Order: sequence, then structure tokens, then C-alpha cells
Amino acid sequence: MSPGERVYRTILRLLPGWFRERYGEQMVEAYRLDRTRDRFRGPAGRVRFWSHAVRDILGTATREIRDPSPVAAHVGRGRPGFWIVAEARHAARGLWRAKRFSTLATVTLALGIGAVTTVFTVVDGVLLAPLPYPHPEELVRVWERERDNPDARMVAYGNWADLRSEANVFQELGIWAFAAHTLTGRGEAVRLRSREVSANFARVLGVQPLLGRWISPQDTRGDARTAVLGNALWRSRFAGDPGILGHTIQLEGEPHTVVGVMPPGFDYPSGGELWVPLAPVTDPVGARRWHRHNMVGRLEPGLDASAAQRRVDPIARRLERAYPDDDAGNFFEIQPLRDSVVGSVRQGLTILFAACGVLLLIACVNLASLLLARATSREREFATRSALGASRTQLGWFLAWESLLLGGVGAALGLALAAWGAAVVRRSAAGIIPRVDRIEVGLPVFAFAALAALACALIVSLAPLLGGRLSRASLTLRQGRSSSALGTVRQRRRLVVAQLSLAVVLVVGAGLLLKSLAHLGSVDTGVRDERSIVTLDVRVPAGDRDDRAYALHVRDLLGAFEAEPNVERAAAVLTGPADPGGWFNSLTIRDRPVPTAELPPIGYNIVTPGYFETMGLALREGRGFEDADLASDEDVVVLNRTAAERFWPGESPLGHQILGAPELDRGWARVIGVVDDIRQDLSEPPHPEAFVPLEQEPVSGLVLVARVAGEPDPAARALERVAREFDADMPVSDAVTLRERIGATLSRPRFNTILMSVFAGVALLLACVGVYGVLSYTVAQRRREFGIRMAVGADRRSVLGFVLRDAATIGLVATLVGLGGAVALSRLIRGLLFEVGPLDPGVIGTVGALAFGVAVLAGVVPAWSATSVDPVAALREE
Amino acid sequence: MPADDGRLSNVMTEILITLSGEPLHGYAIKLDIEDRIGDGYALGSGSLYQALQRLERRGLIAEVPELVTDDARRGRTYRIETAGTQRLRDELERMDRVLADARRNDIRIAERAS
Repeated sequence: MSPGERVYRTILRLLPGWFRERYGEQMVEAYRLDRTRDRFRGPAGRVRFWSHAVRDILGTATREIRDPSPVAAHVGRGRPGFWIVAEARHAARGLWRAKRFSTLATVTLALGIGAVTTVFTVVDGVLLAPLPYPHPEELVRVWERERDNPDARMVAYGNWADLRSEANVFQELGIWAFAAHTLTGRGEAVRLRSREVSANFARVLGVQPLLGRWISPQDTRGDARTAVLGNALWRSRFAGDPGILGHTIQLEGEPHTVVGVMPPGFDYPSGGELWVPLAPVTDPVGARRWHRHNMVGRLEPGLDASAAQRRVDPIARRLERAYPDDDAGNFFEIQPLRDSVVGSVRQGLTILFAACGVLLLIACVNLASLLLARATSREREFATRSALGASRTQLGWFLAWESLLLGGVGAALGLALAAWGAAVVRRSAAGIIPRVDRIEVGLPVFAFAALAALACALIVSLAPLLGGRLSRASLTLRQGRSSSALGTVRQRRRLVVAQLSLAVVLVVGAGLLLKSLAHLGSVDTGVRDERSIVTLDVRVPAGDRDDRAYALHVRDLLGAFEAEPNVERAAAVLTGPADPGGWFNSLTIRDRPVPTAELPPIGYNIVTPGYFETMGLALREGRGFEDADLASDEDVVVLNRTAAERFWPGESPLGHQILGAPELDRGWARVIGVVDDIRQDLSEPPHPEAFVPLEQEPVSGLVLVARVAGEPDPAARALERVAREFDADMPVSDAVTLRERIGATLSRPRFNTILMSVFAGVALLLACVGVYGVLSYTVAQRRREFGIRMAVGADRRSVLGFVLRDAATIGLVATLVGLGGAVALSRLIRGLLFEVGPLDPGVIGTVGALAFGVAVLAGVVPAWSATSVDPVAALREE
Repeated sequence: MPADDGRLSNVMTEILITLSGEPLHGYAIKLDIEDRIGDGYALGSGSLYQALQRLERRGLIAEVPELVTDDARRGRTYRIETAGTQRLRDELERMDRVLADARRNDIRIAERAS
């Protein structure tokens, strides 16, 4: 190929593709023939040729742009559908020229698609993605439940053996319990989230250790102390050393042999770092009575949860007969494992997803409204084209292409937005929602964004077609002035009302969540002045101290705390406020039967004597713990107010004797006092609680609480230091104020609320743009009318009022419709609310006023521009 | 088939005149027109094929696919259609009328711009 020909071919690129495809080779051939002609010889001829050729191609290309020749059906006869591509090119050129419109449209779409895709990314990773185990559909959790009690409870060890032996339900049924172990001798002492597991646990899940072996049946039978390390723990504390296998590590001050290391990513159940053998419960009564375990099973192939449920129901009835004391009213519940892992976030995510869908719909409506306005202003263009022979189908395709192109660009931008959003969620939602590490922008997300864009394009491109816009277009050429502008205004108005109403629904949702979060944050926990309470989690090693010596040891630590300046009082407790959980059991009162099924279980909490004083809890009756109680052989308990009122309604519990929890394995304990309630779970009312002194039941996992004077932060640092100096082998968490601890429990509602508020805000903004757009358009369409009005004496204020009244009407209708919608949908959000009704008048009133105000505000600029119409100029137009 | 009320450009008219003689391929049409106009006039390939495409779309000319030329790259051969002959006749009549009008009004005819 000669250099000249290469240049010529390059210039040809200026022409539309279909043109080059059809005529390119012939033009190159003509070029070759031309070059041989006398007239183009020599330097002068060469200059003449090239200047002519460039002008020719440029001229042809410009003519194609100015007056595009859509390849009519009969030119493309050999290639069906060829003209569709031509329409695409045509649409792209048009969009490129209308930059303001295209920018507005793509940004709107990108916001909508970005939001819905972000949430889809989360939904896909968290809710939809299968569990990372082979045949995840076979995996189930097995709970125990009592009739008349809505809450599932943990399972008793003895029932595991009975269920396991049923050959036709489970391939494998594993059992495990939450635990915590302190690792010492490897840097700073650290508290690990350990899991006590049965030997078949790994077989249930179908996982293999990366190194070594899993816990064996021998390990769980005897007192062989073995441990399997999680991958992250192995890397961080053991430098990823494979030689660790067979070595011993210090857990709870006892040597344990490392037998295996798990592959990366395995942390079941929920954040496990270390797995140790589960000791069998040998006490025959405890095996039926102590509900401390969890079961996870792999169903027989082909069996689903409900079929399995039908097979375990008879077993439960058999157990009821065999152990009437413990298992009366008891039944098993089979739950797909994935539901148990993600069930807690499903409702929140579903609502967020729905909210995003609404947001996308609003974006679509905005786009439809924009396109409608554009279609009207282009009626003459369409009329010309249809006069030139473009069919209705062609013009329809043209419009469809326009929407598809906008949708494509919007989807691409939205995907970028979603990738960013997903990264933000992954960073900020760790620990708030499960499986957050599985959130990624993969193929399903791409497919989803594409589908969302396609759906938008379809919705949007159908709108003008349905409006009969095209059939009317052909009339317009002759009339010279848009005939259907008024119809368009009405259509766009309806769209704007629709989108503002949708935004109102979202804003009501966000408002309810915000109010509910505010309520949760300001719940009175019952603790006096939470900001002055500093807490830290410790695990005090007992060493070889006996119970009493251990309690004194803890008191020494508290004494060291109280020796610090600014520390007024310090105490230790098993489960502090904002710390749901604890030991729950049914209450047994001496000489008075309590029908257990009718009463809530009571939580046993373990405290040092200074606890009530430290937390600022007032005594309602009797007294608190005294040194004399601790020295005496008689066991004593203090109840909280809820327990006193539930179990002794209308009378005093003082002097009555109750049974210590079966787990505590103590005899009768006398009630010596009643104190005020503390809320442990913020969203629940206080539950009945019995406080037991640490001397009676020594536990090593404790929350230390201290009331400090002045700034809590320096005091917190000082307490951490004191605790670490007190015992280097004692793991100490960071010290935080009780207020911060309570705040941390609100992270999930806060997550939902923030996302919902962002979406609602964007929705309101988009709706506001919509209102602004339709009003400006109306004003532009009615310039003449305003001109005439002002020419015959209307003053600025009346014109201003005219447009603002318009805005107010839109705002009012949309607010009413939106609030109606919010009321209709209120049922859906109820589960996420705390102490706020779904029809909260404050929220509904505020949102109504806000939406109305926003609509009027959006009308201000168009109204102002209407008053600045120059009557003379407006009348002269046309 | 849409009504052909679009105007003919100069190049289109020249193509119709050329093709009313015999079917020709693109480059031959170009040479014929350049010869007829003379004065070193050069018809660009872009303008030529654009005009050919538009004439074809209006059904005034058509490809003659069965006519095999000696060189395939010279491409398609075109012939004028009945509608094209009719349209050319109308166009020439219009030009006649324009000329007659101009002469009757004693207007000097400016040289046709090319």
C-alpha cells in the first residue's frame, strides 16, 4: 500500500461506517485510478488532488451529518436490520450535540443505577451467594424451641445424641459451643474467639484443614488438649510457620497441642479463630437441662428443611415423653444454614433494596420527563424526517436507541459508582453485617446493572411512544408551531407528581428510621451518667487460687483501679449493660411452684459488691452485698426490679429462697435486696435478672467497670495500663466509655439509617430537579402568555404567584399521594423501628412540610424568570 | 415508497444524465461527468457515491448486479430506472422553464456555479 493510499484511507475514516463499508473499496480504487491521470501528475497536480480530495471527503461527511441519509429499507435490502444500526449512529450524534441534556440524563441515571447496584452488590454477596461449602443447600441449623415461647434457644447436649442417631435425617450432625480462650506466651496475652466443636464438625461443613488434621473423636472423648488454628491467627501469631504442628501453645494457662491449621476464609461459626474439642456433658441431668450448645447438620441428599422438620418432629415428641421434666413443650426447628447466617440482616437489606428500586424509578421518571421535553422541541425534526420517508418504526428505533445509549453510559457510570459504594460498604460494614468480605463487583453485578439500565431504557422510551407523540408529529411541519406542548406539560406534570410522591415515601422511611435510631440512642439504660463509666473486658487467670482467693484477687485488681486518681469506684460484672446475653434459666422458688412455661426465664449475672454503687443503681428494697454475706456459708442474691415484680407481683421477694441456676450448681440462695433495672439489650425492655456475688460463682471472663471523675479518656488509658501491669498474662481489651459501648451496639440500625437517608436525600434531590425542570419548561412555553399578561397590566407579583401556585399544587398533590403511599407501605418497615409507630405523626408531618417546601422552592427560579419576561420581546417572537 | 419530493443536487442531475445513456460503474460515471463539464472539473469520490446512494434510495437508479465487470473492485454498475428517467425529464423541463423565465425577464444568466 502506497503512503498516499494509506493517507487516503485515513481520511475516509471521517465518513460514517456504513458509507465506508459500502463504498470505501470503490473509493480507494478510484483514488488509484485518479493518481495515474495526467491532471494529477507532478507536485502541482499532487497538491491539487489532495486539496480536492480533502474538501470532497469533508464535504461528504458534513452533508451526512447535516442531512443524514438514514439508509432506507431498500438500500439495506441485502442486510435486514441494517438501518437500525444507522439509527443508532444518528441517535449518538444527536445526544453528543445536546450536551446539557445528555449530561443531566446520564448523571440522573448513574445515580439511580449506582445506588441500586451498590445495594445489589451487598445483597448478592451477603444474601444470595451460596455458603462457601460443598452442597451448601444440605446444611442446616437445628434449634430447640418451647411452645409458647417465641425465641429459639440453644440445644442440650443429650438431645444431640438422640437426633444424631436418627439415620434418615442427617448425613452428619455436629455440635458446637461459643467459647473464648486466652492465648499467652506469644506476645501480649490475647483473648481468642474460640469454638468448642465435635469431631464431625468439619465433616458436616465439608472443609479440610490446610495443614495437619481436624479434631479427632479421641480428642473429644478424653482430656486430650488439642487445638486447630484459624488461618488469620496462624499467620499473625505464629508467622505462618507450618512447623507449629505438634507443638504446644498455652491456652487458658494450659498446654494444648496444635494439630491443624484451617484454610484462609474459614471462620465458621461467625468469626471463629480457634477450634478446640468439645468436652461431653457427662452429668445425665445437665445433659438434658443445660441449653448451651448449637447444632449444625448436613441433611441426607434430596431432603429439604421442611421434609427434615417432619422427620424430627416425632423425635421431639418421643423426647417429651422420655424427659417430661426438661423437654415438655420442647420441639426442634430446622433452619437452612444460610438463613441463620444472614437472617438477621435480611429485612434491613430487603428494605434498602426496595428503597433503591424506588430511587431508580424516580431517576427513570426524571429521564422520561427530560426526553419528553426534548421530544416536543424536536417535533419539527421528526416531522421532517417522517416527511422524508422515515417510517414510524424507524423513528421508534431512533428513540429507543437514544434511551439505550443514555442507559449504557448511565449504567457504566453507575457501575463505577457501585464499585466505589461497595468498597465503602465493605470497609464500613465489617462486623455489622455478616459475610461482608464476600461483597464484590462480579459478573452478576454487571448483569444486574445492565438489566437495570435496559429496564430504564425500556420504561423511558415507551413513555413518548405511548403518548401518541409520533402520530401527531407529522402534523407539526405544516403548523409550524408545536401543537402538543400543552399535552406534554400535562404529561410531565403527572410524571413529576409521581416522582415527588415516590421520594416522599422514601423520606418518610428515612425519617422513621432516624427517629427510631435517636430513640435507641437515648434509651435510659438505668445507669447514672453513662459518660463517666469506663469499661474494659478482661479475663482474669485464676491460676491455682481457690474460689475465695480468686475473688480476692479480682478485688485486688479493683483496688488498684480505685487507687488511681479520678477513679471513684470500680467493680466487675459478667455481662454489663449493652451486652445482650448471659446465663438464662427458668427460676425455681423454694416452697412455691412457678409454672415455668408462663414466666420468662431469669438471667443470672455475677458481680462484685461495688457494682450497684458504681453504676448508680438505687436499692428499691433490702440491701446490697456486704462483706459479712461473702464470709457466711449462706448464698444470697439480689434481684432487679423487673424480676421482683414478675415473680412476686404485689409482694416482697425479700427472704424468699431461689435456686441458683443449674449451671451454677449451688443450693438455695436467699433474696436480700432489689435494685433498679439496667437494660442490657437496648431495643428490649429490661429482663428479670438475679445478681450473684463473684465469691459464690467465680468466673474469669469479666467486664471491669469504673466510675471516673472528669475526662473519661485519660482515665481509660490509665486503667488499661494498670490492668496490664497487674498481670502481664491477662488479656485486656481497649477501655471505652459505657456510652461508646452502647453506641457500638447501634451500628447496624445506624448502617441501615445512613444508607436509607442517603437514598432518600438523592431521591428528593432528583424529584426537586424534576419539579424545577417541568416548571422552567412551562414558563418557557408560556413566555408569550406572560408577556401578554404583563403588557395588559399584570404586575410581577401576580406572575410570580401564578408560577409558585403551580409549584404548590404539584407539591401538595405529591405530598398527599406520597404520604398515602407511605401509610400503605408502613407494614414493611415496622420490624426495623424502635418505639416509633410506622405512622408517627411527627415524622409524617415533618416530611409533608419538607416535600411541600422543596416543591415550592424548586419553583422559585422559574417563577423569577417568568417575571423577567420582556413583554415586547415575547410578543415579537414568531 | 415515499413520494420523491426532494430536490436533485447538481451532481445527482449529472449522474442521471450520464446514466440515461447506458449502465455504468462508479468510476466511469465520474469520468463521464468530468469530461462533459470540462474546465478541469473534478468530481470527488465522496460526493459521487453519496449522490449515487441517495438516488438509489429514492429509487431513481438501481444496481445491475448481474452485469459482471472486468474488475470487481470497480464495484457495482448502475442503471437508470423509469422513475429516474421521469425525474430527469421533469428536472430538465424545470431548468428550461427557469431559463425561459430568466430570458423573458431579460435577466442575464450568471454562469452556473459548480
